[in-house]
Amino acid sequence: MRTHRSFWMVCVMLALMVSACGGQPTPAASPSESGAGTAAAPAEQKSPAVVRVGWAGSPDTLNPAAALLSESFVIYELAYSALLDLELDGEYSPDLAESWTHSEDGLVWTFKLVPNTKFHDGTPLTAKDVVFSFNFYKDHEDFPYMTGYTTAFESVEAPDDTTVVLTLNEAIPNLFSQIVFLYILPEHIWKDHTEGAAATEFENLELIGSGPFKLKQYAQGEFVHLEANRDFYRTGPKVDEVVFQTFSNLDALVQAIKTGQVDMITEMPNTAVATLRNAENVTVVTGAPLAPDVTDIILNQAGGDNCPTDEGGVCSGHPALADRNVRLALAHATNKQELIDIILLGLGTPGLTLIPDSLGTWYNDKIADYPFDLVKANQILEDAGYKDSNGDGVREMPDGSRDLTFRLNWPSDSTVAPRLAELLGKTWGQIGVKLEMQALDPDALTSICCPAFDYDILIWGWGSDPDPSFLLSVMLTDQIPTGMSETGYSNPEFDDLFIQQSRELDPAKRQEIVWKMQEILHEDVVYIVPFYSKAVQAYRTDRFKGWIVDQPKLALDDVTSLMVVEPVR
Amino acid sequence: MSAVTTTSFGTIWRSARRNWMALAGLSMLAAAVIVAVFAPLIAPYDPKADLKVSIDDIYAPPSAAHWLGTDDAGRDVLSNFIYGARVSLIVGFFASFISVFIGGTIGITAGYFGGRVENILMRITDIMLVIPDLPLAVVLVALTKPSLMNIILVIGLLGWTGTARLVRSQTLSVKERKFVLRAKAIGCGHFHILRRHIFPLVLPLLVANTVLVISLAILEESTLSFLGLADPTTLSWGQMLNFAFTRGGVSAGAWWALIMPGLGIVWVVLGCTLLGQGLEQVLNPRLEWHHLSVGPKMVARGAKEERP
Repeated sequence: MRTHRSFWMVCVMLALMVSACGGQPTPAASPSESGAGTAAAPAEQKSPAVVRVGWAGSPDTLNPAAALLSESFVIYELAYSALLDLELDGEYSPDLAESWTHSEDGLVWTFKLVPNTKFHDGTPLTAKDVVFSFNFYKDHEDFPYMTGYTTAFESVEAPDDTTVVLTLNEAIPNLFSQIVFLYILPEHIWKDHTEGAAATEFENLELIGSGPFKLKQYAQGEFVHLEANRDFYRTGPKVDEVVFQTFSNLDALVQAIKTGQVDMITEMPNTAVATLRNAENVTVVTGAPLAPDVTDIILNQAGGDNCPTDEGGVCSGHPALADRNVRLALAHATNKQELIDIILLGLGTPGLTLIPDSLGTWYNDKIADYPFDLVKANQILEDAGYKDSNGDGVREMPDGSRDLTFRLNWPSDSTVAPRLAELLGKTWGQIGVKLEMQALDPDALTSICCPAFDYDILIWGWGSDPDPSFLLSVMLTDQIPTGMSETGYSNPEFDDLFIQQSRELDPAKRQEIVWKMQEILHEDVVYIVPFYSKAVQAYRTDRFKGWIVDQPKLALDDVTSLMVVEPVR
Repeated sequence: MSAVTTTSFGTIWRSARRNWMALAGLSMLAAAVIVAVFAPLIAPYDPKADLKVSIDDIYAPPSAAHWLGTDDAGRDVLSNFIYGARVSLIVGFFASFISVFIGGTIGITAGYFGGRVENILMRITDIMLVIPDLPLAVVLVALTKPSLMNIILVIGLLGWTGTARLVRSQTLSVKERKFVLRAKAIGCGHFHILRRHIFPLVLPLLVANTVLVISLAILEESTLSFLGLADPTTLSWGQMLNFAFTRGGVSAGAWWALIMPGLGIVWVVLGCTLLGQGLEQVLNPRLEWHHLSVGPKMVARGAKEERP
């Protein structure tokens, strides 16, 4: 499920995933291999080896400064270089930068670039292009994502052609997770498009970068045709071309791989897994997604002084949801295993907080979840004074003013939410809670969500960065008026810890703080997170081999995989 | 008054028995109603029972245990189908009553009084007619509380325009007839004329139209459910289609999960259409004959020989 609000983070995540591939998967590879890729050479003379990738989306623009959708970032990861790459095991590896050092205080970073690199149009890539790109992202505040990755940058300089000196205004622990998204743009092309709105309006239809693939042909909403960049500064791809073909829906994708129309699909419905497993020459793979989607049940807790009335806050949430006892009872009445079994058909893991298990060490696996226990849930409500005094099967507020009847909304394009709502209605009904269910158009959902807070309970989702900072920031008090906070949750202790973790340079100590923050969120029952979904992808075995499926994260459409697949002979 | 007796149900039944379309439609509808009413007795499984599925037994093909296979949550399609008839029929009947009531009132009023009243009412009708129904229904459903009642209201309140225009034109022709003019001449009041002379002649059209509107209402309900805008716990045929379509039924090749609700909708809609058209032939005085005709076929079929 790729939900509307999660788009931007999903994009980010995918971008991360994709960026992982820019270089070779060999960690810290020496930059000895330059020039044309050797592996692909024998394919000359014969018909080119073309990998056909099927997906249900398409890039919204080829301009990295303006892109919103995750599909765009998949393409950027193939066509652009960044200083570093994010690998499928969650580590950062050298890409355009072959080595780097930093000052004692962590404020000054010096990157050494791979020498003699070129853009796709043959122009040499120098440190000046890096400086130009970083400043370009930094100087614009209207870029959906890029601006956010440069907030800690004080200045960028290029003392010579292969050295970049980056000075930060504050030492931050997650610099690498931001640098992997900062694609290096050719200054000679972009210098005419830097002023104001021209930057986001530039269509960039040539997509000149320095990555392992270059653009051959592009039709918006139809396909993106890439060919191998034989001048790539590291080992190049083993295939000649990659075509990303857009299909109208997931069912069409499944049919396309079944019939051999495509060689790989980036997504598919879980319900088609059994069918495809039985199909000839098709292998279905599941695993932790590179960009985890978190499905969350959002409980409206905004009210009183926290209601952002200046930003249009209505704060019509049911008063019972402000009571932790009620939220706790709902958590105890949520049968996560049943939800996973039925909605995801087992392809997921029980959720705890917004930080998903695929964030690796940042995920606090020591938290004991509230077990599914209807007796206990009933007891909690009973003890807190929520009794069903009129015998209609629905409990009332302690003062008898209202029933525990909650509005439950979800985006109408979600494929998991209707079944989720149905199952929640069943178990929550057994503790005397009634739900008024309704799907809403994603735009309508945004307008009631936040900062309006004109809802009781929502089912929605977030995509995640490889770094936990973003998902944690969603629950900060100062994000309530901005619309990023969907719950209206406010806890000064949590806010303090957030600032601490954003400055803590020691990874172990930072992990401790991040774990503590998850404990607080879990203790306060800010969200109910039913599950973390697995990525489900499939590839054909009769045309290409070498897809990377043994890494901690699964992303066949990541550069990492597309760099190493080779034709079956 | 003969006008009343002509359209009494005994007469309708006698004529309808001779009309194969009406009979076929009636049988089809009756079958659907019986299935809906006795759903708990007929359905082999309880569609609200607890679920237990694994990735390999969703969309199970038809078998002895599940005659029509299972859906994306491992539920029996036949049982869902049987229970789904309830929602579709309830929405169909109630929404069409609302539509026909509103449309009938507006049509008769506009047609009988004419002049400014007609102008205002018919312009309102025209406006409602040109607003695309579906987007408006989607918006209204989103704005109101999600319940079966609201879906019924939305469909009913949007679907009356066709009836209004039809009834108006019938009223226009009826009110020019001699017996209406005579009634006016001897000083009968508007209400009396409407009730004793106009309404009885419009009623057959209304009955036939009601049945036709039922099919539109059922289609509209299925559309809204298919778009995922209905309460997911309300099991209707549109909802079944929605789940099968959005949750990979096509990929899984689960034709049973897609075809059955579709067939159900076709069955009821076809039944309504046949019955409605059959009734129209039987009842519509403009199509056959009416109580003042000398012979049964004095008025030609169609509207060519409109009386002065």
